[in-house]
Amino acid sequence: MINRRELLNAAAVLAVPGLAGAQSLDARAISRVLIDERHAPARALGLRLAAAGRAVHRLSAGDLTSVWLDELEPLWRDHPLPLAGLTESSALFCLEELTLRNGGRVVFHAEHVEFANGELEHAVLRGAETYLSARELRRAGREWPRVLAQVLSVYPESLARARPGRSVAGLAAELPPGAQLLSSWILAPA
Amino acid sequence: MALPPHVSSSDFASALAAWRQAVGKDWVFTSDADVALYRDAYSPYWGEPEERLASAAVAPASLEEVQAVVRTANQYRVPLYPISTGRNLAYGGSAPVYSGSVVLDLKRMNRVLEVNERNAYALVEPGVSYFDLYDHITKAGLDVWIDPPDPGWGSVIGNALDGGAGWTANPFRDHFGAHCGMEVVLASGEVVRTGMGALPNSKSWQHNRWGYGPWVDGLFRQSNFGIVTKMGFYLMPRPESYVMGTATSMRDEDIVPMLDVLNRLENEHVVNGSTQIFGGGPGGPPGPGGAAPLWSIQAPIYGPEAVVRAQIEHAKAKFTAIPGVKFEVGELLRTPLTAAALARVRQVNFGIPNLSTFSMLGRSPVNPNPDGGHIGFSPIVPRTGESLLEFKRFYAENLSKVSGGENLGVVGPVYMTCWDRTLVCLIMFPIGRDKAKNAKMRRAFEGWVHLAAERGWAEYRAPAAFQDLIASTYSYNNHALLRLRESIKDAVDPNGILSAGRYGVWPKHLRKA
Repeated sequence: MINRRELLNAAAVLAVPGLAGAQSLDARAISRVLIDERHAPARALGLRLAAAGRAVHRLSAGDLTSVWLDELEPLWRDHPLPLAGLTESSALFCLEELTLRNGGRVVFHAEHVEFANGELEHAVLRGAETYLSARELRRAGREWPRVLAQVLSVYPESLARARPGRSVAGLAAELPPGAQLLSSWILAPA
Repeated sequence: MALPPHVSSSDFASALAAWRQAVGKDWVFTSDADVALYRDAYSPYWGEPEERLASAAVAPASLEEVQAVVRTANQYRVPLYPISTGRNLAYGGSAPVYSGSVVLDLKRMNRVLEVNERNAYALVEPGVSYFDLYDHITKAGLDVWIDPPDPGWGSVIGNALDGGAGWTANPFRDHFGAHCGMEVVLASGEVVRTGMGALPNSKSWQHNRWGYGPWVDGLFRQSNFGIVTKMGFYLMPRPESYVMGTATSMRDEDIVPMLDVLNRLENEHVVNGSTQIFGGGPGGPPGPGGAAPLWSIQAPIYGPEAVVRAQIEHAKAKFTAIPGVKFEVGELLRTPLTAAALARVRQVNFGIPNLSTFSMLGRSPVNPNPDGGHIGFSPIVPRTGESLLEFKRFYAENLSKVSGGENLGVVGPVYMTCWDRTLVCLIMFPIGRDKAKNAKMRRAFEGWVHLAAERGWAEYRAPAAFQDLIASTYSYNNHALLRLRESIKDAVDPNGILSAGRYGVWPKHLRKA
């Protein structure tokens, strides 16, 4: 059950134009986030969320093994809670698979591509109507991790009730040479 | 709610009600949202009408519940598709071969029943992953190793039954070959124990694997003749040390004597680790002096330090007797590994399951289009250098034609020697979100299957979508082997409720004329 402090924290990070749809009395704060610290946008996101009091788990070489076994699995096993992240797709794919046993579902999924020429492209594959649109991310330009940080801070119950199926994280997207794709996501127990 | 094929809605409703009674209503899944989780994450038909999908799922927690589910399925002729952890990536995952089947999800049966350090074996249930077994052994402080595949999140039983392999020492790498004893639920709901387990009060079920009379365990490998609910495995006592030697050559033809030497060393049990052959050029490890060799063979050895030192010197002498072949001996590592050593080794080679393969395959400057989803064609080729060179030529000559003149991003060949006396030449096909490209991949896969079969090479393990095709290549004497398997299927599963179509074996009512 959300407590008053969490509700107020959630309300504080919701004061962003365009996120009115996420302001809900059933919003829950997401207390944990996973970032791939090899990528600057993920580091930026991690800094913001750490400053906001979120526990930040870090992938240093992209290998999820020790983070999952030592940090996330013990938490998820006993009391599954929403987990957010900004990582490469492979980490999301692994976590989605690993949390299936405890009812984990990808309730929000967006992809962020930086091309070799520095251009950015965003696509919200899941949760756009509730959380965030690609347009809002584009408007933020290089500040998109800031906008994302606000979205990844809260978790409406309504999204979990939708109980989506498997994401496409396991299937690689075709990109030109030099492009880098990151996935932002929220995994929540159904 | 989807209906299984050839099952009426009233019969399905009755079956579901019976299952809810047997396993509890929380463990019967019929909503679209829940059943959607049982999709093959790497399906080459993702999002297309031909994608194999489940109609429902049921998750029993015990042998008795499995029996009850099976009896009900038999009563109402509902097709079931048992999965263990459902992580058979690139081979169908948790989705059924026969679309519309009800997935029998055995994940809840996740007990490690016994790990015996003295006689080095384990007995597990199907929901036990390599991570689970490793965790159990570590916490109990037992001095035995597991042999994990890569990644290590799959089921110990599931991987073995599908013909999987790992990365430590023979004979443990061949996971089915390293098993000892099974408990199986037949389509009738009856329980059978194989080997010494057929003896009531047996204390040697995981000691001697043969027992008495015709050995039936092989019937349950890559098959649909029964549901394995317990399985024993031999474990490796922790080896005292490990060393790897690398033989290299700058000449293509040297692979012939090099592979002969490797075969002899393995068959003599001098080299017992997971050997690897790299075909030189980009991607291969550098040889002495830094220049990329044309061929590299990695030959690891596990064992007592004094023995390992002697064995690696013997291996070196044999390889370097080939003119021009060099051999470098790596660092000898003593176990348990130090933290520093753990950080630099490939952990699966030391019995430590992990997920590092996903990060290795991730997007990077050297891998701009990562192979996330994929399927593989992995034919068995005679384990000689001549055959390896023949396959290398075969691949180069046919790649463009099979790929329709396009660069599809197909990767190969990767030479795999993780099974005893076996050489597998793997070709990998990326599977993504582009349906048109996936269709090209499927056509390419089929092309390679046909071309390879003409040379007497065929697959050892197939993705669900191609299991019929692969089965058709084993056609000796008018498909006599398939006909034998069908006879067995008709005898043990007359209503054809278990894993219809798995590895090309269909029940009578679904066979094509």
